[in-house]
Amino acid sequence: MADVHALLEDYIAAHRGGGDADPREWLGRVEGRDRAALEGLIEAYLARAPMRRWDPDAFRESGLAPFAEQVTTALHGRSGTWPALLPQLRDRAALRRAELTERLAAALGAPDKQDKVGFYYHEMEQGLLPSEGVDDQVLAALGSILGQSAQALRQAGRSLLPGAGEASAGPAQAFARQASPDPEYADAVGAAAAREEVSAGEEPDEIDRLFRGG
Amino acid sequence: MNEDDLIAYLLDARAAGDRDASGLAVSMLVFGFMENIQYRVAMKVPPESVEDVAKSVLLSALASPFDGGSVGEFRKWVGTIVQRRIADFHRDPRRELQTGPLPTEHQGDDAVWGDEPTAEFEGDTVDVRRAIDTAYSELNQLHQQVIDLSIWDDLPAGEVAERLDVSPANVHKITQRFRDRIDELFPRDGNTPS
Repeated sequence: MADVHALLEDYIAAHRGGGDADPREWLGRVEGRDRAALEGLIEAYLARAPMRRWDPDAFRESGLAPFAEQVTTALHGRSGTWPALLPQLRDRAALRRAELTERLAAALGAPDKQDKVGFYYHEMEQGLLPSEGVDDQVLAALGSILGQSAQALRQAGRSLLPGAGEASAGPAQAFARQASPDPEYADAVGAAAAREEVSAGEEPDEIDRLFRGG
Repeated sequence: MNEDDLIAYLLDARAAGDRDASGLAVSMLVFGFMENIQYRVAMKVPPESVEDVAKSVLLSALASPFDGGSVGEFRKWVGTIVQRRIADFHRDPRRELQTGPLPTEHQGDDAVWGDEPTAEFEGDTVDVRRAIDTAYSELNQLHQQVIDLSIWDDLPAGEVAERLDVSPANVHKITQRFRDRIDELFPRDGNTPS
């Protein structure tokens, strides 16, 4: 029987020392019920461990800034957690945004409307599109591309506090706000044209209806 | 600023539409908790999925309704979501990412949120957690403080003794009894818990 309490002490010292404290290294030293006990003890410690002290330089180097930005966009947007979830799913599926919108437009039976679909998809990632207006057909098509159910995407779009997005910026501001333009958004010219088309009061078509409802 | 102050600040900034202030608070919380959550998830989830699950935990925690005024609420909430999202991961063969609030936060709205995930997969982990909680709850307040400082905060016995006005020998004794009690409640040699 291993001394799991000594291993816990060793783990806590390493964690508090600020070095790498991946618990799997410690768990690898024991097995069976010893491992279960150590796992529970480390979990109990981590649940109480102090929050990592803020360090702007370390934050920049951590690679967490894009995720924090996505979460902030979600909190101030009108699309639930889509601004954080959709890029994550897209990364997991190894899809560039242009590729995704091409497939989405095709799945919606509108391969010639890729720019407009791209514009609306951009709005979803920017938290600018009210999720309740997005048709199930869009979510089913998007879900099939990203490996999610339409229901899961619908839920993610709904999950924020009431009132979210009441003070949100308009599309143009959101485009301008991106400190470094997304290099994946290679069809920005097409999207800009689609934005003008959408805002110029043209007669709404089927794509507008699918993304905005009505 | 601790996490609950940060949450209160975030809620205020969000209500005021102050995106820069929200962004700073979110950055501090993400930086402050991500590594901790990744470590906890890594004990239960394959390496290639740790980042996805950890992000979904933080996203749920930051996007869900919670009472920022209660001390320790955000940390407790994170702990609950960690367990739930790990359960989701093991339950869902399609590995769908969950980012919404938990069903218990929306009683009567199950049609929207679905069933609360079960935690059956956890097996021994639940028993260990119960053993630790039971051993701790059996202590009086002073002895709980000894455990907090000597085990969880990793302070030397002398410092714990000085802070709590007990002898270092007592600190050792209380700590050892706590460990022995956990071992009784979660025996690792196959014996029945006493």
